[in-house]
Amino acid sequence: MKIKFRLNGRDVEADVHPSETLLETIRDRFEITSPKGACTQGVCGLCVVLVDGEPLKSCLVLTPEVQDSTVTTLEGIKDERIETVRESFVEKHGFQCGFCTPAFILRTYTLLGRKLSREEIREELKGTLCRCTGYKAIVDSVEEALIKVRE
Amino acid sequence: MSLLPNFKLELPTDLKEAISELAGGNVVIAAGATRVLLMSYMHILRPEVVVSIRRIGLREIKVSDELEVEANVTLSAVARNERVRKEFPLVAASASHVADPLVRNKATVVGNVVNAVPYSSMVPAFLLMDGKAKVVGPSGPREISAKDFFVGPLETAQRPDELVTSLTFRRVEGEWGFTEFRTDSQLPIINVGVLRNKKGKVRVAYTGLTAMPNLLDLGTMPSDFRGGYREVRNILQDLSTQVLDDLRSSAEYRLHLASVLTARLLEGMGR
Ligand SMILES: Cc1cc2nc3c(=O)[nH]c(=O)nc-3n(C[C@H](O)[C@H](O)[C@H](O)COP(=O)(O)OP(=O)(O)OC[C@H]3O[C@@H](n4cnc5c(N)ncnc54)[C@H](O)[C@@H]3O)c2cc1C
Repeated sequence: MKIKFRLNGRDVEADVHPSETLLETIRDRFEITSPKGACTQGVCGLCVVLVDGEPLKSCLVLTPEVQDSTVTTLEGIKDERIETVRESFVEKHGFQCGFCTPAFILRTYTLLGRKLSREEIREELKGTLCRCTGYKAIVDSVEEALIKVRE
Repeated sequence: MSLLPNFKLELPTDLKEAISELAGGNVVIAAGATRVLLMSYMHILRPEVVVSIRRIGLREIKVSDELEVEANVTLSAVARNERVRKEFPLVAASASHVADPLVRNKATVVGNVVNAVPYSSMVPAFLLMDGKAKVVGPSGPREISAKDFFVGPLETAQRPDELVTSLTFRRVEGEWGFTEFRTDSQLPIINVGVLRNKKGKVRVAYTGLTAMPNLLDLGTMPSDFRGGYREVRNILQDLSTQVLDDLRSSAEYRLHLASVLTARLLEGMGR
């Protein structure tokens, strides 16, 4: 199936299999690697991308579904506030092995501008798994990023 | 190597075209497609053709004396909608319990109910609020009431060539509660919705207790936890031979959970 969509600010075209997931298209055809396939059944949330601004698990999206949509991965975020998010993760040790880090950074980015309690941050981050940190440091990092960006 | 088993995909752009796509063979409808893809990853579902209804419109949330949620409305859209949160809080609360924000951004309310799986989060609200499913097929539209909608385990009353275009939820007065219980799994073991009307009469609905959803009139209930627990547990004894007993939870544990969670909701509503 011939599909057109916008990927990280560029108009792109691909001839995909009907049952091809957006995760496969992004990684294998466009060689963009921040979305990771770990569980590949909708659970781990490491394949998160923005489709028309909304964070989705790209393993639960069929590429033909994004015809005419705008898809953004972490690589495509040009907003300078993303630097603040990165710095907060470094300062607060919000990662260890780093495999889930792009997903958490992208998800934090979608929360910028909001005022959230730690409980609400946890609720918002549900659906992305980290096997190293035990999450406390991630919540610390997100909290820090939200405060810094508001200031 | 591809992640999913191969299937054909149809993306009709209006309702009529979608209905005609359903006419033949091994066709699976997908709205948010989250469950269709999950089941395909697990090789439990092997569709030949998937008909995605994402491009046929039906994206509206309509609020009048009832709430109508069209087939492509996501769980997030309902959970975030100010009017739904204020006027139909049980619907908003149920929607915000499903999975996680990423899944909710794609999965639909209608898909959740049509799923009719034992863990469906939206089904208690649909039953308690005298819901109706609006359905369209080759022979035109019809309505199916919530209590006639669930006809067997994993089975709902629309025919394979019919599409559910929307669900309605009646406005209810009184107090409400919703909760669920999950352990290690992504999926809830049990969901509980409760309504207490102005006269103090309680209705409760469960998914995950038996293979099919349950809607029960409990009458007047004590609002202290111990009293509530005892009464609910007694009433549920009638169902005990049908209660699900599987790897995720024994029947005894499910009965206990249903009673504890219901009693907690009743106690909480009194405050
Ligand atoms: C990680 C994960 C966690 C989950 N957690 C939960 C949870 O906590 N609670 C829960 O209830 N579910 C859960 N689910 C299951 C599922 O994602 C949800 O039930 C979701 O709401 C289904 O909606 P959908 O639009 O994605 O359905 P789809 O996958 O598109 O469809 C589901 C079923 O309904 C049929 N269908 C859909 N729309 C129509 C229509 N308009 N007319 C006729 N038939 C239709 C499809 O053919 C299919 O059989 C989870 C799934 C995943 C992957």
